[in-house]
Amino acid sequence: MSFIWQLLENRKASVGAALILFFVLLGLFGPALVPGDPSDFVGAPHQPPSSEHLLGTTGQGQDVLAQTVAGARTSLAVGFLTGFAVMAIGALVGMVAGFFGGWLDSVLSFMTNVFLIIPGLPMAVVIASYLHPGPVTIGLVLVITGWAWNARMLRAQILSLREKDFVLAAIVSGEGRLRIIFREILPNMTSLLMSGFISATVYAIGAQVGLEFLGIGDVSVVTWGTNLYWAANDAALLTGAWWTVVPTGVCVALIGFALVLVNFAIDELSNPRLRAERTWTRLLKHPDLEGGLSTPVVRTSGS
Amino acid sequence: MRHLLRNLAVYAVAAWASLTLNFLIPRLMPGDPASIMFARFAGQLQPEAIDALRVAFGFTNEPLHQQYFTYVRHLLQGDLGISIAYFPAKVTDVIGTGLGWTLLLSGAAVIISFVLGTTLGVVAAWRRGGWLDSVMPPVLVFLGAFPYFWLAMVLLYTLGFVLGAFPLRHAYSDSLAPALSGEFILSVIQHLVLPASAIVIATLGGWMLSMRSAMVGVLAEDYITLANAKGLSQKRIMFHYAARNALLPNVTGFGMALGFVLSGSLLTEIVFSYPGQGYLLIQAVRNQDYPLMQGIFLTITLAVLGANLLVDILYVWLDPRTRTR
Amino acid sequence: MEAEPSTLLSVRDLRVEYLTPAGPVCAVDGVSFDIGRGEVLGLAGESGSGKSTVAQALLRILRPPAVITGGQVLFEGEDVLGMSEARLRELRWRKVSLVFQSAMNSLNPILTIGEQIVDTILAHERVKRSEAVDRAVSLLKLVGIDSARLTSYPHQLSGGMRQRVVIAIALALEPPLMLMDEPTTALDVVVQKEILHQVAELKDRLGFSILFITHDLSLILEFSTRIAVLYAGKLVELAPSQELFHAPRHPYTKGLLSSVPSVRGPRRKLVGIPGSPPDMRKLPAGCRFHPRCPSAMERCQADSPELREQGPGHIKACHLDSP
Repeated sequence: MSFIWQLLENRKASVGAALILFFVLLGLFGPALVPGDPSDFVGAPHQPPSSEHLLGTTGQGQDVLAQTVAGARTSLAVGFLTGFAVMAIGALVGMVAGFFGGWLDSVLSFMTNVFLIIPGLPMAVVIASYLHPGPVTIGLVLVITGWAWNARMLRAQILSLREKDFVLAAIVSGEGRLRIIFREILPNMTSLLMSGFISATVYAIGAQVGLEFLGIGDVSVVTWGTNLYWAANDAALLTGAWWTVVPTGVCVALIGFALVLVNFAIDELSNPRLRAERTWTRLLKHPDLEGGLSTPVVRTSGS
Repeated sequence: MRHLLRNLAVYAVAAWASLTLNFLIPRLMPGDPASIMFARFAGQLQPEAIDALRVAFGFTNEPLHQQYFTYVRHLLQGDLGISIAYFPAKVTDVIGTGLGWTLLLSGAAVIISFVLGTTLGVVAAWRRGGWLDSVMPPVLVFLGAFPYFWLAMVLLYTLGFVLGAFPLRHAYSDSLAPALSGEFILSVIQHLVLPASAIVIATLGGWMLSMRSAMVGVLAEDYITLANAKGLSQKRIMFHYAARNALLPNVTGFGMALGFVLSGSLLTEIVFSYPGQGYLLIQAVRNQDYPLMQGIFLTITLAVLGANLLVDILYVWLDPRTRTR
Repeated sequence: MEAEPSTLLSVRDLRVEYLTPAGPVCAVDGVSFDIGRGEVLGLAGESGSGKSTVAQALLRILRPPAVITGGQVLFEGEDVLGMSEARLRELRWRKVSLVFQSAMNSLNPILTIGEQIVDTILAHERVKRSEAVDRAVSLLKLVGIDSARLTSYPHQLSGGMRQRVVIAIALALEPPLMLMDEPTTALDVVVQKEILHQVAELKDRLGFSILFITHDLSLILEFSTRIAVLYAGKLVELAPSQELFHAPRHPYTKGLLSSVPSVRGPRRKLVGIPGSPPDMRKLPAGCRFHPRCPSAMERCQADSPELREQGPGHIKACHLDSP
């Protein structure tokens, strides 16, 4: 719990968290604030931003602001849920492999490496094209193509934790294997699991937009990805209608950036050396620290 | 050496998994696989033609493992089936038109991005607290949070459409015919700038950050302290003692990231109508061209595996500790 | 005491702090000693006593967050703490070289040992590469390694050989002073003795001085001229080796000596020192050793003892038999 407080004190984390909160609220309440069906035709196509349509209209005369706000809900929901699923499966595989070792580890690691190396997008396209188009399909293929990375990372972490003394002590005292995993090891991995969840969500949101841009999703559902699909379809850029493309991209980037900021903060908190270096730099007011600077001599008064 | 062999096994299994996935997936879906595949042709072709297609694609009534062997045999002969969108062209022919362009674009972009990002990472770690270390990373991370193809769109609009500085589509000028002339090569390079830049901008941050953190780890090692104590020049320490060691984990990371980067660059191609695999992929999706989709999947996977193999060999050359085993 | 001109290194009140997020922690608190030409000064203490920090501070190669906050270091009369980067680069290796505890970690894993010797030479002297390689070969011969190993990588050598390589590198420019920080700790006992014999022989042959840092007093009793004992960042005793061995005055030194098993001599009980070294962030008041000292008096809890001369060349910091 104190970890969460420390996190919020960190500047990077608080900025990131604020942005994430903004988008989550947007997704939950946005469509209520911008009434009407975003798919309605409300004006002439490709109108630039005006007081009537704050972000202009699409190539089919729909309100860009309404579409962006509405798209947030599905894109974020699929993103977070998929991110969680990816993290959970990856964590399960990685931790089981790392903890139990032996032939189980060999098999699971091998599988992880195979899935890691096969390029995700083409595989996702092949699988998704046979299924019913929509957010559920996209979530499914993203999980299939995305779980391996977390698995690898968490396996490495658990391998190093397993050798630590407190775990060995638990094994020697006869604690059951599963109990050891849950009671001794898991709490030490919270920061890594959180970090893994965040990375997985960033991946999920981005990859989702990419697949929908290709036309894999249900193009009648309003999401950020399908917005871009239609914009490309209507040759928006070549007619100069940048407003159909920019808001969605900025939203995706902002939430991705916000999540990454939080990740950095977690990294800083769990890596004391990074923190110590920052303190040292600040204390000595040294803006430039070359790799090979000699030990400075700073005489405090009275020595 | 043993490391190399183990990776080889992973690649072999990955290749096998891909082609097996291609085989199984139409057959796992409910319904007749042939009807799904030829859905587009329903009502357009004679039943005999559809039957002929059925046989050509291996959807016979033979037992499953027999179909599999036939399928693999065709594959080894270089037969990936017939494209639906470009009917009756063979999939291999269709892919062939685009593979070179994809390799050119992705290869160039990825190498530029890796070299540039790694160099920036080395300098940033060397001058901790300097502007490069504090300003660039958040900027690059922010840029990297945009989808590749969105950055491509922005570049297309600003530098291509508004400023007219670079061409908007295709791999070379429409008025030229492919030839080994200076004019043609210049045109190719001109058309590469925008799509490659999008990919570079999107991926630069990742390489820079990972190199920087590897460098920070290496700089804490005893052999760096000793190198300083020995009185070696800063340049020698930065490159031969620090960077060359920090590079090693990044080279392995490079291989891992290739599949991911390639996926992003496929989407970038679409924005510029660049005649590579990405463009073919979207045509395939639009036209429900399953054979082409699967063919692209297989080709891209094999390309990534091949690149990874090259990276592994490079790694053995870079790290003497891997050579004796 | 030796006459002034033959003092190579003079350290007075050296103070080193580590800046942590919780505040500065003093690792070396006012340490003073001299090293003369051709002598071996042993620096003994438990881990965490600050001995490695002292060695690296002398060359000013301590990494952040370490800062030197006080004292004076004179090498051949020159002020090291006030030197420019360029002058320091000349001092390092040409005048003072360093041997670390773990040779495996001291060597760059991706360069051959030949390259690592050669680049040392080339960094300081304008010679042709071929000449530097020849010198590398003779350095390897000096420490008993076959010249064929010039093209070997560190991971291809045994622990003992690696340590010899590191010593060869330290001798590359024939410096008058060599700092050796637990050079044999990571090796097994037989190899330890071999390396020590080798170093002693080289010292006799080439005439350089050594600051030999160790936690194992038994290693340096025969090898060194004088021994300084460090505890929790402070010097507690300094005396000629034989005198320290036969007549130690500080309780900590006595404790260290009695924890050294002896194969010869009468059987006696091995006595360790109870407790463990203090946390440098929360040092005890008064004498830093008093919580573990069998002879602690009331005065020890309040007063930090000064260094006082006990006899010729023998100083200690303790309230026992002091006014």
